[in-house]
Amino acid sequence: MVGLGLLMVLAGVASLWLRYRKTLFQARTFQRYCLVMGPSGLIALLAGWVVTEVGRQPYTVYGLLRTAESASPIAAPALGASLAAFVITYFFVFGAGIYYLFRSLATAPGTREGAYSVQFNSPNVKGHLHPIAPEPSARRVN
Amino acid sequence: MDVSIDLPLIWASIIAVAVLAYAVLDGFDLGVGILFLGLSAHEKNAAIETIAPIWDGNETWLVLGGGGLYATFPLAYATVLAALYPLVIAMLLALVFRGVSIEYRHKSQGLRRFWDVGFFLGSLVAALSQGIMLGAFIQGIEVEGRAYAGGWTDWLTPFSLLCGAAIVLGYVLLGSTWLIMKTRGQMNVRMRARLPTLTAGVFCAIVGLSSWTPF
Repeated sequence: MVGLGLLMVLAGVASLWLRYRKTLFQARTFQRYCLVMGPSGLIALLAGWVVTEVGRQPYTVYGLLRTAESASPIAAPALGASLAAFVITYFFVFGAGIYYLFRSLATAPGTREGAYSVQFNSPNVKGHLHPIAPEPSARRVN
Repeated sequence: MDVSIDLPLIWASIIAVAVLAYAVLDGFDLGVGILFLGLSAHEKNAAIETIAPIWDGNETWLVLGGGGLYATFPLAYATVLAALYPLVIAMLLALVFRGVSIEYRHKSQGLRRFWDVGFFLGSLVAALSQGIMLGAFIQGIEVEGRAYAGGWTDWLTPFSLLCGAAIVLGYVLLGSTWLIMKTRGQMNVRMRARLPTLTAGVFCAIVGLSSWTPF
């Protein structure tokens, strides 16, 4: 976690240095480094969470309240079943999400200008207003 | 002038309002979800569009209710949620699945039918768990000292199951009236035709459960 933080600082400092040398946009090695560093934020976050959760054991509040004293009176089968249900649901939901994400990434973006101008000017169709489309009043249709 | 502020009372009212707002607001969009599989492909899209901008806002009331209970009545929160644990988890996972289904059904081509069923099942399970929770809560929770002392299936009684069914019926009624207000054409006509039976059913459920409650 700390190492990853230092690597992030390194990315920042290196980019400033390359910028100063005016070679930022040609530095392939540095660009690859930034690409590899992509997931580092998430990994550092998870690592930090594991450190705090494991590090405070056997206390919930260090030195004052033990974990065993603060646990809710929930039966083991209920807890096990809910953990399994969470794991299954999240794998499923995130799996489907990543599938749709990759499929969207594989599709080139379309402007779909035509479709919106039709919808804006048809009184009977409630258009799906695109966030970057111009305001209906600002639009002139010939 | 000395004005004393009764904070527990104020917060109890806030939580009560939040739970009521949740039941009415998320009630109708859960109801739309329960009615969902009976609609034609065109009607499904229309029904989804009527709730798409608001369903997640409606569910925020649940966060206020739960968060308020946690912050102001931690003892009640710890006891009640421990007693209703399986139901709370079932409701949360159902709400997750249902929300995701609303978004994914637009993206999918081959699996739209699957997400439609997911939307229906998520709505149904969420509504059922809420009703069963209410029933279990009315029947009482076994407490010893300052903690829950019952088993993890104490909530499962005929009364609580009937409460679950009644909530589903009530949400279906809310969902139909929402669709009547928001749509035209065949769907509107069909929903209207079903309204008297539904209203009578909900009325019977209210009377039946209210007269069962004292026993």
